[in-house]
Amino acid sequence: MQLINTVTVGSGGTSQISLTSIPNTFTDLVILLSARSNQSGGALGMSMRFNTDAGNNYIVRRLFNDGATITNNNLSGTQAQCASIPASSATASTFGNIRIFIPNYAGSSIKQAQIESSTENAATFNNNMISITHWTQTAAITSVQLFPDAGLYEQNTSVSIYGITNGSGGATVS
Amino acid sequence: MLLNNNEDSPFAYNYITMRTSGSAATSSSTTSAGKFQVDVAGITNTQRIVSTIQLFDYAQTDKHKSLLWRFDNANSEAVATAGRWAQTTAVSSIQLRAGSSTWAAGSSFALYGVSS
Repeated sequence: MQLINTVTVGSGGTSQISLTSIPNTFTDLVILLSARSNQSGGALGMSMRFNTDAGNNYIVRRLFNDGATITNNNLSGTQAQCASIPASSATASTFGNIRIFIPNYAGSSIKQAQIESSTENAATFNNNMISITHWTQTAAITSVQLFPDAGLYEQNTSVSIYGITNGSGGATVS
Repeated sequence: MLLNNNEDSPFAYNYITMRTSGSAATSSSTTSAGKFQVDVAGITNTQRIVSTIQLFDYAQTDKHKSLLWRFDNANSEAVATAGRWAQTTAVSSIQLRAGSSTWAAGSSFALYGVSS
């Protein structure tokens, strides 16, 4: 797994993190986030787009729990609402953890992304989620946009994107 | 999925699964099974599964082998499984089967090792 880029949000926050110029030389991508929003409330959703595509091209199936209730959604829209992060009412210094796995990102098939996110906040505003995102486009992914559904990413939110290259031990069905 | 080609006896596979179709969430558990088995309902023959399996301490001979398994298709279901193979033998091979069917052309599989 090779680091491609890391972005850390500075003072004042930012409404979006864009990971650009992703080379097509890897097999898969992994994105790891440590994120928090300044939006009011305890937790809120976070979304993703590929290649700045804001068309109605995203499908998300997700399952999440807040420690008391399990909820599931089937969403479609102009962005993939695929994760949850802490917001301003969450305990200070609490950041959510998110892993995004995008296989065959440079291929010509429809793209899917597998995601887990977790926010633990001592019994309030907890949120653990699994989701699968379907981007109904076949273009190679060259950039990924990540943004909270409202407000800004807070300072010290960090994102790293890694490329994975298949070794000789893998197999492809012919 | 089989570990070390162990199918059926000694029926050492135990796992719990949660899944969502987006409109319904379900949970299930299986004990003393002959294999790890997950499925996604409603997938068509032109769609693909995204699956990742994390197998922990695969070479340890003093532990049962445990795993976390995601098995998803955005058009049908998101599925997460936690499993245990009740054997202490080091894992030296993994068999992945497409049920009673075959893997479609273009299906790809990659195995990675993680070192501490």
